[in-house]
Amino acid sequence: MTDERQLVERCLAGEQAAVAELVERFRSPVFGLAVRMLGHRHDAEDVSQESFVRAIRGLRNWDRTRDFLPWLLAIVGNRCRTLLAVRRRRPHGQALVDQLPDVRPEPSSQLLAEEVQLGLSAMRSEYRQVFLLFHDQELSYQEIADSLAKPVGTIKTWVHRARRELIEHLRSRGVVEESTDALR
Amino acid sequence: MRCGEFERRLHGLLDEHPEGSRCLSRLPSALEAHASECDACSGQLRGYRQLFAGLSAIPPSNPSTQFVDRIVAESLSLRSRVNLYRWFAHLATAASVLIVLSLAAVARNRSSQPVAQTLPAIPVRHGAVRSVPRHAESFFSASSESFLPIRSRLELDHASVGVVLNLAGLSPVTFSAEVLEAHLAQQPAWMVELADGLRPVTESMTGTLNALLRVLPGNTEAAEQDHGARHERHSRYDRLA
Repeated sequence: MTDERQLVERCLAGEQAAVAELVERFRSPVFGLAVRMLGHRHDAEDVSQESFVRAIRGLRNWDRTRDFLPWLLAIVGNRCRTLLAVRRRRPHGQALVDQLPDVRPEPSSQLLAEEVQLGLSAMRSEYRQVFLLFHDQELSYQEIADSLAKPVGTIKTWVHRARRELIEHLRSRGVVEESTDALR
Repeated sequence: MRCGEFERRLHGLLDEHPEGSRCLSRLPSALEAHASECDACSGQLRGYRQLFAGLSAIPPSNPSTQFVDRIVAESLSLRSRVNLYRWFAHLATAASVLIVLSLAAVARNRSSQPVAQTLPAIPVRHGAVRSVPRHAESFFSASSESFLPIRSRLELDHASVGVVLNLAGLSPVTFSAEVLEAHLAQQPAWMVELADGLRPVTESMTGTLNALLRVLPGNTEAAEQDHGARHERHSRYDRLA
């Protein structure tokens, strides 16, 4: 935390190395969230870059009493949602999953990963954002709530709905067999 | 355990363990027991296991190698742009202050200097006044120190002040700066009008007097028509002199 604060102070002082260090330190979660939210590597890179630049420009707005990462990821999530909204308005959509992984996992895992990615891309961007922040970035509910300025209860509800929607998606795609029995 | 309870506890478990996969592989025995008996919940549990397996199978992706360099370069160019904007803002502020100060200085100069060309010309009838208030000149030269603050305040030259003195019925003998100031303070509008009217004509005592007679309230017509009154006023000059 103190380390983050020092790094931010150095960035604010205009130290180029500090900016590079900041980007280097957080690029993985930032890019990871963007890729999972957008399902498109190039868009994710653009959004990550834009998010970093916005964050660096607005470093003075970061609440020093809180962690840096949730604040940064909230910016990324919001930028992704903006791009997704733009995409929805386009007459012809882009391929939702068009990036090939550099390191290819086992076929079954790859299939699962693609289906999960597809399910994510089909759900409401708010659900997707909080689901990824919680289950992928492993931020706490409180951190997500703080960074998105929403009540914790809302965030929990959205994560629960996101899980259910993903399960439904996997079922509808035949990845998970439908149960013959309804839930009792 | 009912299915609703199973789902609630499953969500509770996932709320405590965001990584998902590990906690789902080691379920509490009560949940395992229910899942083994209930196809629906068993299917749901499989679905969650698949979901988190799929989520963790999404390959870790890294941005391109120039990613960091691009952001650093962009943030630096942004900083220089911001600095440039700030510089322009400072420049604009300084220019604004300079303009305001210049305007203030111009306004001060305009108000402190006679600007005959911008004032309406007052027709001066030479010869209408028979006597010249000579005492004004001599009085001024004798009491210049007393007159200075009034002159600067009223922006009148010494001749005009002499005329004012006489018209106000003040004797040079009893004159003091305080007396004149007090008198003039009672009629500020009158004095402003008088000062404005005097500016174009102060080179000539006759012209000044004539102009004064024209601008004094109530004297415009009377000054033209009542020669007797005017002679009376002029004779007061002479008496004072």
